Amino acid sequence: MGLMSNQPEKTKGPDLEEARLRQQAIGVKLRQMFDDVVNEPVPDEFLDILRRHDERAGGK
Amino acid sequence: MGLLDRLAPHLPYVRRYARALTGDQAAGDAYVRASLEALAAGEASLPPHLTPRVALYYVFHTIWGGTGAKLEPSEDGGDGSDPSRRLMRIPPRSRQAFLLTALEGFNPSEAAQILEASPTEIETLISQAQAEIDAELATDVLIIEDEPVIAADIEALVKELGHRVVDIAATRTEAVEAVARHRPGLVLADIQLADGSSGIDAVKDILGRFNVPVIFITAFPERLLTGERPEPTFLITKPFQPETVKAAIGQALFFHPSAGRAAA
Repeated sequence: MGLMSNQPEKTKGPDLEEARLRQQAIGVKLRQMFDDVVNEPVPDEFLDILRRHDERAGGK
Repeated sequence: MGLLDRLAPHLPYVRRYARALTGDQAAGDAYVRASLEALAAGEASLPPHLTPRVALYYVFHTIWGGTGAKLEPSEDGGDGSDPSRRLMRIPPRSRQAFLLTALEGFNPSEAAQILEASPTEIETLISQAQAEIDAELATDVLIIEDEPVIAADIEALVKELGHRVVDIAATRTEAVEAVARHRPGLVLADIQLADGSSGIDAVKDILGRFNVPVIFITAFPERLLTGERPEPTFLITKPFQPETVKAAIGQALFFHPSAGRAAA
């Protein structure tokens, strides 16, 4: 499936370790921003899809 | 163990990832739902060599990567907030690598399993994401610092990030004059200035005129903690690690409304 997986390797840009540090600093704030998504209940519909599958599989 | 037991604990997080990736909760949920339906119908399966959480993101990736990544609008997608807009500017596959590691906390080898990528490709994608973020956030910077050696250090690291230093002010008066000449997109400020004036006062003057992200870099953090602290501000203690300052700059700009190129 790897679309775009043959990107050239030369354009590495910023130092990798430093990039990771800087991205983690953004990630911490993104987690705060999306806290409400994690804390709200998962839609019942999603759980029902899985539950119906398990009932069919278990009823075999 | 059924799908429900294996996957339910991870659903809040894959919904968060989907929201961040697509810029929209309804769109993100549609792909989560499609992934779960594919699993329930037997059209997709959880690779047995992966942990349930990694396997769920892998299935989500095959569903979204097959359609969503190709369909998304090229510009200004997302829920309209500035951080979302900035995320959407990162090309899809680099955005995935960035979000899987920085937001979802997967290590690079897990991200490689999810994206069916080599570890080398993950490194490349992370670097590309960073280059894109740097380009998006590039702005004009005012440094308020009275010690020339420190000012030069700060100037060098700011330039390494691709920003332009428009002025270095050594006093409150110079700082106010500098912003009158050119409105910066970011202010880096010391607190104790040459003529006995205060960087905090300088920043209050500036924030009274326009909204700009501010990072205080100071050997006297207690002055900022005890006094009236202007918002929005970040605080770094001297002596500073260059990486810390760089990380704070990226964080301040990424989450500031209308920061970046269009600073004015």
